[in-house]
Amino acid sequence: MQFDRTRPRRRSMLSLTPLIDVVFILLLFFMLATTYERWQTIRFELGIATESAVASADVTARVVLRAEGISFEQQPVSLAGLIARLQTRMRQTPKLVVTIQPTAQVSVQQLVDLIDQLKRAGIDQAVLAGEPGIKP
Amino acid sequence: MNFDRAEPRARHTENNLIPLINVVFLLLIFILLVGTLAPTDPSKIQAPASTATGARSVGSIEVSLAADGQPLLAGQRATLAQLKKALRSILADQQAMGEKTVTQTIEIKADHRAPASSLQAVLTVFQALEVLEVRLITVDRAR
Repeated sequence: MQFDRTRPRRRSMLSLTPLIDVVFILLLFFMLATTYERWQTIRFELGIATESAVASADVTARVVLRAEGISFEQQPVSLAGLIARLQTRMRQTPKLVVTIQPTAQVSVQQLVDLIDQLKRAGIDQAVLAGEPGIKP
Repeated sequence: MNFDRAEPRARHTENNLIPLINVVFLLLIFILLVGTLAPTDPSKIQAPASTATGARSVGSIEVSLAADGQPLLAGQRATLAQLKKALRSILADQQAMGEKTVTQTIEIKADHRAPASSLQAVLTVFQALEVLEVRLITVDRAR
């Protein structure tokens, strides 16, 4: 058998330059349009679910969050002290609801920090209390 | 004399570009896998950092809170009364469409500098609307 091998093999005429252009444009687009932020959420308990609990003083613990510190039962307390006292209360009352009342100077970040610390210590039942008079 | 040297040189140059293309492709794949495409937020809100692990819920209503404590709905500044009215109509529309499982979740994207009292004020609006679930959007503290 004899194959016709006299015809020269056609060299690929495809140029890589347009491919590189397209890939660079894609890379630029995704670098500019992509966000790397990982969003998370904290579930907020509205007072509505705990109004009956709030009415009863022995199942609630009221924490006042000020810009300069935390008050618990009308006494200034450190964060570690607050957690220890709340944990003691929780052993006596497992359904304890912690009511956080931030004052006007407190930022959202300070509030989130406190909720974070409480959750880390196993105190999940925290609600945000409103200032008197802001309820609609 | 042979001056026709253009073709071998061009081939040689293209061969040199192959590692570059490989690297660029790898970068492209990395960015596609690690990042997420999302519309940019025009309100420039910087969410508070936390160690929370709750996931964002799909199809929820998003209410923003600017650094000065002003509520924003769909990027537009609104008073509490306007917010209440707008949310009531959104919730009524969704309930009419039978999306009962999705409707009752509202996510708040509050700026970390916003006063906590403004967050409380917004929460009382949700409370009045009998919203079942409210979530505060945060960013990962580790980042």
